[in-house]
Amino acid sequence: MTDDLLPPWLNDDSDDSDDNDLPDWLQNADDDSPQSPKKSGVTGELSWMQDDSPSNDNPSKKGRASTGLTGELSWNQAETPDFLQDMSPDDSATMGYDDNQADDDDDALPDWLSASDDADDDDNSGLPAWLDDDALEESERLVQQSFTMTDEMSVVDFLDEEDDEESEELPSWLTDESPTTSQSNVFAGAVDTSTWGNFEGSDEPTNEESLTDAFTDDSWISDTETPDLEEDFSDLFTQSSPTSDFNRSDLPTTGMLFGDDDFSNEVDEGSFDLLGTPNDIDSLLGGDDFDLLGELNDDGDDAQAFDLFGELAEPQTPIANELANDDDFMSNFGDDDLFDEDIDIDALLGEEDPFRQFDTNTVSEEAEDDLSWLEDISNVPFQDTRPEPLFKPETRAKLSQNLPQSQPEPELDIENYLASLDDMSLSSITGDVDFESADLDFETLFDDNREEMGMSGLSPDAPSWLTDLTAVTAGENSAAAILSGQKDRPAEDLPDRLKALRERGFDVQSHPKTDAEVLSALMPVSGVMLSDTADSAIATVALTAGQVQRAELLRTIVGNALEANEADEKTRRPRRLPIERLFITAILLVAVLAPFFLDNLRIGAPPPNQFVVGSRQDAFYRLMDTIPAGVHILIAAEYGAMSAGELDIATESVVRHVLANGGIPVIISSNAVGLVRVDNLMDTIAAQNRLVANVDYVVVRYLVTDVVGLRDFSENLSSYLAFDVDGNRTRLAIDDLNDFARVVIITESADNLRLWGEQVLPLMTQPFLAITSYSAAPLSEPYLSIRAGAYLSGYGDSYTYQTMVNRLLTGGEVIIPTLPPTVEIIIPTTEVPVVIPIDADSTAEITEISPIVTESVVDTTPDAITATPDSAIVTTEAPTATLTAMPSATPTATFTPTPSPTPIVARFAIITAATPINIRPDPSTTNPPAGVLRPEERALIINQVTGVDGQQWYNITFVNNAGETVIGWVREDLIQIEETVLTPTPTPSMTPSSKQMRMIMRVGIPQKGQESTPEITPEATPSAEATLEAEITPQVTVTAVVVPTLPAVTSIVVDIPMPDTDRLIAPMDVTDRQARWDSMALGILVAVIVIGVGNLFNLVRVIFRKRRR
Amino acid sequence: MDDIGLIIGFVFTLMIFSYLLGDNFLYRLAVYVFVGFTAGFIAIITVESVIVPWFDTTLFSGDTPRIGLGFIPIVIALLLLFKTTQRLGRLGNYGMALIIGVGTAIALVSAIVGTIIPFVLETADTSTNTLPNAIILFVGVACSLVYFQYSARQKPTGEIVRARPIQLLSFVGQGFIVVTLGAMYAAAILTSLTIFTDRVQYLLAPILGG
Repeated sequence: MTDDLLPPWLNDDSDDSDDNDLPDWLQNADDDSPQSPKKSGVTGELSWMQDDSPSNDNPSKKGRASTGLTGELSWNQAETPDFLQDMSPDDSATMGYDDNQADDDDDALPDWLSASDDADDDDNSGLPAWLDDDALEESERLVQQSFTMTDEMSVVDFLDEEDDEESEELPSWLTDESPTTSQSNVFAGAVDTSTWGNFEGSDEPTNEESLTDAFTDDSWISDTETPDLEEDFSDLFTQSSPTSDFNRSDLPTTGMLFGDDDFSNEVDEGSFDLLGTPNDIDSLLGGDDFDLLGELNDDGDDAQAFDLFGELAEPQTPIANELANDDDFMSNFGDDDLFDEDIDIDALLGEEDPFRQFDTNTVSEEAEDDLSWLEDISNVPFQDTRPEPLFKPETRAKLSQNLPQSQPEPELDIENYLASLDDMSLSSITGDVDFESADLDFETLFDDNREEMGMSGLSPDAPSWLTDLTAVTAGENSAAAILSGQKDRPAEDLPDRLKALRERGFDVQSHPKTDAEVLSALMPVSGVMLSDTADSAIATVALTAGQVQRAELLRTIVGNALEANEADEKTRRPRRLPIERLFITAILLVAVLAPFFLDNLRIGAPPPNQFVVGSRQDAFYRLMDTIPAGVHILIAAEYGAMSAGELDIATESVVRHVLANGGIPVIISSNAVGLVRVDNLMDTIAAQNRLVANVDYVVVRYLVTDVVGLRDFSENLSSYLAFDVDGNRTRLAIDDLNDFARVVIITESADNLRLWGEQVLPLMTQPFLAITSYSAAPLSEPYLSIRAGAYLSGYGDSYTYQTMVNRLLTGGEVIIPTLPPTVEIIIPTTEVPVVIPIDADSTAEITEISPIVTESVVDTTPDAITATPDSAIVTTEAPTATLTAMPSATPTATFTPTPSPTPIVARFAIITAATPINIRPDPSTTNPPAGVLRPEERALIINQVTGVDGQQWYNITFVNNAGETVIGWVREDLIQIEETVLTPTPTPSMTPSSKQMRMIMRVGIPQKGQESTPEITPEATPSAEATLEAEITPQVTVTAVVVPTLPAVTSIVVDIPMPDTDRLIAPMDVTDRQARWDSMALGILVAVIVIGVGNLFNLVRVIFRKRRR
Repeated sequence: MDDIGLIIGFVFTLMIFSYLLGDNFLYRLAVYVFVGFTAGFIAIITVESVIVPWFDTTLFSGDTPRIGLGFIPIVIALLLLFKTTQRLGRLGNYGMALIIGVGTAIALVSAIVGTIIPFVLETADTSTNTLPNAIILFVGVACSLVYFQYSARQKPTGEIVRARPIQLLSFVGQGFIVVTLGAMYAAAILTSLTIFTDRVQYLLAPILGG
């Protein structure tokens, strides 16, 4: 705000204890006094009545203060003050203060007034000097003198006249007791300064203490220019004009007093320093330092007998004198139009009737002089902040008389008011009340002609509170000014929803309703009232067409009972077929359906059959593929039925992969539907593979509540894992998250993934894996890249993972990932520092490894194993590497009753061509061949698609002569398909399983120069004995690939996938998987085209629309 | 039984797809059935796998400390039931206070430790990123955060504007946010199409004999 413009003693920031900021005549004020300047800013203005000990050397300040107060209060209250009623000449001597009243309530009096009654006569310290007994006596004496100013003596002369002698008296116009002075006009064109005071005398001061001296002594004004007072009340009305230049224009005009445009302009320009704060209406009306209204409205202070208006009524100030003698001014107050100008004085003063003190007859009688400079008073742009009264006072009184008196006083709300209307009989009053002349002016409710009210800059539809604020707001930094400065957006920039609402508004305007409908909507009274009381108050209301339209719009927006009728009309309206929507749907549907019927509709290549080495997907597969047998894998299926179409394939692949590796999946979910789905899925897999619930897999209980439940789960694992989804005990003895070899999160939501990462991940050291849907990927990937590093996203990754898992399940074909050209491969020449992933089951340390080794491993085919628990893995390898592998696995032996084997159908492709054929890297002949197969050679079929040429292409894999595994595509006309039913030999599930043995073998692969001393201490005692020894000499190139995204493994040791598994898990059904992928690709393409064309269409439409306008 | 389930699923899928023609009774019926079944599943699973086991392990365990421990959640749960009444609703505030307080504390601490700090470290860590990636990462994060700062000054004309540097950074951040939202939107379309094709495949399976 503009505190800087305030006088220091009015500034909020000024130190209260710093009396130096105060004018001298205020510094002695009693802080405890309710009129203390430290409690009320108005006290400054009123201090001439309140100050206990005003400075004797500045009596003129009091007069000056009075001047400022007059202007200020007149401006604030904007009505005829009491001085028009309290014109008693007798009161002027006491400044409107009643001595009797003061006697009755001395406590409420200013100290100096109360003291004047009780204190010793000699003790006049509390009185202003000009009220000192001596001075009063002297003034009484002097007042008797006939003092008349000369006609030539203007008020300026009066004000300018120098007298170096310090006067303790008031200006003489303050001491004037003559009632006739109220008739005088000081500032009229030819100012008769003699009317300033009904006193006569010479210009020469006859007595130093004479009040008549004060009249001719302008030192009370010039004193205001002293440094300590220059920010005092002299600044209230003039900021820069020196008092010596005081003239009529320096005084506040009536426009200033009542807020006309001139005044507003001055306020805006800061040239008019009302109270020293030109733009600070808060400090003027509601500031801490200025509580004028509080002062005026304080009922308890009534007895202070500070009759402000009575004081002002006396022609002791030029302004009051002017106002009191201006009949135009008074007539304006008496004009009813002025009431219609909505002077909201009651909002300012809190009075019911702001004009209760206004007596126009008295004014008209007393105000006889014509002041032309007040003619513009009728243009005062006041804004009524009150709603227009519905009835005139007499009508209201009549209505009140008809109300049941026995009823308790209802609360003043609209409901009770309307209820009271229902209870009373309007017919009893309609005969007496002239409703036609009642203030049933709905126009004011819908009046949008705010410009005439001085509300320039506001929209006609601006709310009333905004216009009200604007009316009383000064400056441009207020909220009202900011809001009023806002420009409406063009209709084109509106959101579609608002556009629709706007158009609907126009539609409503084009179909205006009848008055009765609108009235019934606005005022839900009974139909009887509306129909029977044709001459009721409501019936007399006449609405214009614009009002009806607005009311209809309002009713349409908020909805009410009439909506039902419109709803009926709408139901009868024929429903418009959404042509655009159907057209787009048809196009999309055709695009999605076509690939299922047409093999040639293929957009792009299918997902790869294997992940790129070093990628996050590849890391995921490897971490899953290196699961030790017999360990538990925690799988969180955090998705529901909606995402099942995308994530079920991943869940099934993970579960089968874990089962194939001998792991035990432990499945949990905080999604009840997802848990049910996974339970059903596991039932299917278990039935297919002869698995036993809670033995080979566990679907544990529902994980309730997100954050708290997850935290509880991570802290109290055993209690959560104690029961399965059906409430049966699981017998899981896991009480630590690290007992899980892996934690896999399959989720449709990034939030779920974040919760798991926040609650579970910090408590575990095992690899944290994730599979997300497409929709969750953008928000999940940043998180996973930091915390996990190995994850799959969307259906495409799941597709590839399923292919790889299926390949494993259908025979475990060896896959040596092809190296992408973009991946930097580090092939060590001599020594490679390899870090073996440390899992829960083995601790191995390899100190030296050669990139190329020749090894011999023991073939431990499941059906050939007759292993004993302490069966040692016989290694016949010559390389002597220093290897110490100490598997610490202590799996419990689990014997499963001999299951009936599930037959597996394997398809092989036999080359029927007469010459060697090329094996393509993709189902086309475009790219160079990936390998060659000779006639009669066989390859395992792992997938089948329809190529772009319309022929079936089979994805096959085989090992070439170089021992490399080749994966490629072959066309259907070059092969013959042979199906072989593989019936695995039923073997009991035992521990250590062959998978674990395989792991042991991997660890125990003796490297060149190493010495293998594996230690296996299984607790189980299966009746099996490993007696087979096979010596193979694979040429394995061990490469260490830098995988920057792997979180737990700094480098990867490429293992040789073992082709054998002891637990045969059936592969997944991949029927129409390729067609589904093609359907997705084509659907995406069509969706992109539709979106693009739609946007282009809208753009063109907008352009044409703007051109039309 | 499987055939019946297949047929019911087929019919309900078509009912859901009927929303393409607008909101209609068939669509709403399918949604109601789905919501009802979901609620039923949740209720059954909660009772079977949560409440009943909890009773077994606490109140019916025969172990006095466990029984006493089991009463605490029951009391809190009963207090929550008072939330349904206006007079005694304030009693439920104790339970709500416990739930909300504990939940907020856990979420807040975990978010700081598990997400914010790792993200900040990752953003500031240039060792795991190439220099261009690190720059893009840092600029993207910083500018996106700047975009969501609302400090501004007001001109004398009433116009509220941000400082020029802030405007520039905010503009860059807005670009990152647009790209992010675009990626999310595209991903949502991918998921929708994936699910849609899954349903189409499901519907066509009987026709194509798959």
